[in-house]
Amino acid sequence: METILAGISDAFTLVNIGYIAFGVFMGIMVGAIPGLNGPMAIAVAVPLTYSMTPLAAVAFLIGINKGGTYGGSVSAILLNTPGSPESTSTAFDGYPLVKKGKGLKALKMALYSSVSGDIFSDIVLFTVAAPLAIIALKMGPAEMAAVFAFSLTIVAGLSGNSLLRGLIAAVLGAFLSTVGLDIETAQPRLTMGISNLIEGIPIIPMTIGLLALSEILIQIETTLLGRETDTGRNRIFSKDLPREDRRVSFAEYKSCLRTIVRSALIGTGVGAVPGIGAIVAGFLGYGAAKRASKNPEEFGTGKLEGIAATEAANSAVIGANLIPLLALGIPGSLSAAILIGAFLMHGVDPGPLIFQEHGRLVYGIFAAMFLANWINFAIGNFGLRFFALLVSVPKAIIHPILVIFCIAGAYANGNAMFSVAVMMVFAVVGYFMRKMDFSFATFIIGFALGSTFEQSVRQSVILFKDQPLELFQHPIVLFFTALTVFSLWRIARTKNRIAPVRSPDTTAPDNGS
Amino acid sequence: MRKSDIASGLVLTVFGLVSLWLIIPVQISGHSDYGLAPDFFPRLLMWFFVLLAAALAGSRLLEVRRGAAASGAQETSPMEPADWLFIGAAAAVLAIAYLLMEYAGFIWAGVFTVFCGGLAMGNLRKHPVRLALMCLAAPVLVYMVFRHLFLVFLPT
Repeated sequence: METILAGISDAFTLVNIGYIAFGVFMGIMVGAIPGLNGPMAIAVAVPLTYSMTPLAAVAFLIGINKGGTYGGSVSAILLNTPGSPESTSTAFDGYPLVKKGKGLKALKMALYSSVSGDIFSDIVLFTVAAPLAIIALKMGPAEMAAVFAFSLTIVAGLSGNSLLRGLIAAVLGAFLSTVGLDIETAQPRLTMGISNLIEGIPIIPMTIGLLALSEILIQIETTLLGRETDTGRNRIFSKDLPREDRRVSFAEYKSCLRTIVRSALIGTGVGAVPGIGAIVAGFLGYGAAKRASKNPEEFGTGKLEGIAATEAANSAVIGANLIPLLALGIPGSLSAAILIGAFLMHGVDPGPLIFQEHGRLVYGIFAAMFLANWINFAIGNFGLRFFALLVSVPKAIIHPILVIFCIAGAYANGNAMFSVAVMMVFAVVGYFMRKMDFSFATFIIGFALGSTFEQSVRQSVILFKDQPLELFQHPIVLFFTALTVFSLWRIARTKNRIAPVRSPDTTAPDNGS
Repeated sequence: MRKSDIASGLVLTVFGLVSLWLIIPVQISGHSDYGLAPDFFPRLLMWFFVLLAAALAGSRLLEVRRGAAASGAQETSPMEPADWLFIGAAAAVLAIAYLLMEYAGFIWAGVFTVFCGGLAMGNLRKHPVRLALMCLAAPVLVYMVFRHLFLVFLPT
């Protein structure tokens, strides 16, 4: 109890509150710009947290994540162009509301439902993560290896359009994580004689390249080659609009409450399973609300419930994503994979032991997450006009400047030109991955999981190489192995069925964000 | 994605085989006095990688042999000649920016990068003054923000 209270009091310092607010503000700003999203901002911001305390750093990054998820809805509603892919179905009802002159009402409903979903999933995280970690501590290397294999399969299968391409990306990510010193013998592996690679490929510059710079390159190319379609602009802040069209009344919020709770439950469930991500949660929440509605035909014509359903679901993923990260050390999403880098940078190893070794920090993070929700609510409410203005800044100004931000962000990772080189190489790799529809999210998660996965596999091989049949006495191993095989079969069957109707979208960031 | 899957599957299979027979034996020792050899896990992953890449190419080739109808989207090539030209030019710009940053400092590299980015986004033709202002102000601003706000001293 003392640890919990100490952690909570750590979060409530002025400096930490300031960092959370800055993170939320930055997240909404980045999320609101079409084509940019929360994970991108987190990747660029991680190196900037060197001088911060671990709590301030993680709180700042979680603030970006929470802000980024809501920020995506701003451009989805105002421009009919989702700022981040998880807000796609927010545009279905948000944009028609803008056309009716109720844009401000739509933005506020998105904010309220986003914060509600976030709070719900945070509460689930606070109550579930610690007990799950206690169970995880009782698992041996064979059990952990089976859990990792299952997680990678799920991530690979669900975060792209093809199970095979997803698995290839995950395995390649895990393979690249073996670069550097061998964990047992300390012999260098795959360093190509480059001394900087002795410590392995740095995850942060790699992520900036794969996630941010490659996406900016794709967008610059889209403009340069004339493949972009103009979406038009709408002004929604006119003072001539009636007051009821510029606010969400308590009755309106109450009428959406059932939808919000349903979506929050969906988002939390989706978020707790590695790899499914906020995009799927948003669509599932929207679909469930439509099915449950007495007037489903009204969805897509400007219904507040449609916005509430999507936003509560995609925001609920954020907190739930940290359940596998903190309890098992498995990043459930792209943002969580980047957060692993941030944790490691500050000397914290995420996984079941984190509650024992850094309990105060974990409860500080929980308190900071709760605080971030209210700060998100306040900044989102008061900054609506600014964020709406930001949405209309031309990409021709934003993208060239973002490129130098990426370069500076990569350099900040260890103040080394090597990091810049890594970022640039992986920007080109990311460009090809996007074009060929290989999931870069799966690649990054494979990379982040690689070393722990290797450790578990090696320990299991050493333990069971003389009596492999002993593995049959480990029910958790058998359970997760069966689950992996079953998931592979199910995903392959589903993908085969939907493959002919899906078209590749090279510009859309893939799932798992 | 059928054609590109066949091509990428074949390229990745070759890459995997080259890694297994050339790169891993040269780059990783296969000997350990205790426990497992350092090349155990990379080899395991690379074998798995080769199998998956071959399966990708193989499954798509089988589809072609069976003559399964492909939708227009499936047959569209993800990399057109213009894309190859673009990424080649972008890689060259990034390489020059890297060299400029190393030898002349972040601000010069920033000016060059913003100019190239702005040029590609059509700023020179439509808004030359804006582009000039962006080139001059943005790198200095980013440099100052990193120096004073984040205590990161970018090279000068």
